Amino acid sequence: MRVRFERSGGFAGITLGGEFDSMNLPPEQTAELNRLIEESRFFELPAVMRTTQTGADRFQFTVSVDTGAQKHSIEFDEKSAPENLRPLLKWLTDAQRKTLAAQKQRPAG
Amino acid sequence: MSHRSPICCIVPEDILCRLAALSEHRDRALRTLILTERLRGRRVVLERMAAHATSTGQKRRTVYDAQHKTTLPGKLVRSEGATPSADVAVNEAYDFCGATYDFYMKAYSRNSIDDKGMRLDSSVHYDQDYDNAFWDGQQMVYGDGDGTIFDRFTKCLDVVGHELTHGVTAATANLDYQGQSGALNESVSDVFGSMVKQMSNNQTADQADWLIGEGLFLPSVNGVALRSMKAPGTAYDDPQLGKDPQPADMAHYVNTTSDQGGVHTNSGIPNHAFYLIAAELGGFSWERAGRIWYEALTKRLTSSSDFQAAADATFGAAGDLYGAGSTEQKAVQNGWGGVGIKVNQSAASTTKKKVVA
Repeated sequence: MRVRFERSGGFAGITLGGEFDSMNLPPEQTAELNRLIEESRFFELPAVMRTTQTGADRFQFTVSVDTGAQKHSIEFDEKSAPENLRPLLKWLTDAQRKTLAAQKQRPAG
Repeated sequence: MSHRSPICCIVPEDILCRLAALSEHRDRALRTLILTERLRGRRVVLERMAAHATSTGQKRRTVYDAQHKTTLPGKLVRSEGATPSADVAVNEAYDFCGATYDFYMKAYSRNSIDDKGMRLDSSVHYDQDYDNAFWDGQQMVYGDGDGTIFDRFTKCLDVVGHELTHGVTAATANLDYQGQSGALNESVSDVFGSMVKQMSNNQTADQADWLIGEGLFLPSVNGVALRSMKAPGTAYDDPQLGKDPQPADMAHYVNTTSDQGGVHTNSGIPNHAFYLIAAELGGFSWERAGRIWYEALTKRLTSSSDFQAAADATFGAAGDLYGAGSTEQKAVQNGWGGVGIKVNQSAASTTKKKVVA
């Protein structure tokens, strides 16, 4: 299973993004990711979710999941994210931050 | 959804999206939750409308604690005139909101976001590890940061000035939040946010740092701030975050679909134009360069204005305020020229909007 994730926008305007491949994840993390994808009803979500409400500096997201059997991509703004998708977003955001932090620890070269 | 009440029209765009995402025959529990939320939204809006209706033309601030949840506004923790809280984020939101209100009143005689004394609502401690601040269309919202990259977002006066200015823009030019008009919207918030800080520090254009969000990065990050108006693209360069992607001129304009078409990236171009103008004029930036921007924002720019329209509008505003061929008007022309935009003088004379009642 592959999961691609991108968060753009926000006050800082710094894009956070990456790809998670179950081949490279510990089994317990793959199980957790699978559970969150299922609980979000990811494959039933519309491809695009946008609000027309006013506001500024909110995050924009794209998430793609490819399980081999099923493939789906969604793009949406933070405000239109359904409640049951939020735990998956939090997991992806935290995991991406950890990946970046680990990259920083690693010596350059 | 043809029978929405007027109040519901204000509240539920996100809810409508969620409803649209539901298939016909499932998730009744979620549907109930949504309806409950709609009712709660109605109550919140009614409370807010009541507060706005009692506008007195005085500074009125309220700060709420979202208690690490995403329901707004949260619990009321400080209102106008109340003693300081033990919570530093609450006091920063309150004080910096006050400094921003004072800036608009002192510099441009503007009475709050709507110029009618609108109450300034802020919520702090939004969500968990939330590395952002935003304007939700009605109020300001601040996260505590993630503890590794970002500190709390109430920490910087210019960030608060930036968010409140989104409200001013929404009440005036209402620049569309995408592409060039969106980048202009972002830039207007940076420009006025920076000037709020400059006034608070009593700094002239040559004394100011022209940084946005200085101090927001935690020490592990290699960067001084999120953006630099003086030298866009140089605010940070970090192994985790990459390099500040802001361009300083049109030759480096970034075409992207991320972030509503790069609204936080291409804002570097009008940001730098403003810096060049303020630096050329010297003195306090809010007195002349800021006055020209304010005039353009409130009287000339429209929701679809692009960078060229902003150049023409500020040139026209400078002519109105200081005269055709004045030092100020020449500085505006030079500043936009410095970022690769040539003022169209004939367009400048026709961009003036009728004064909105």
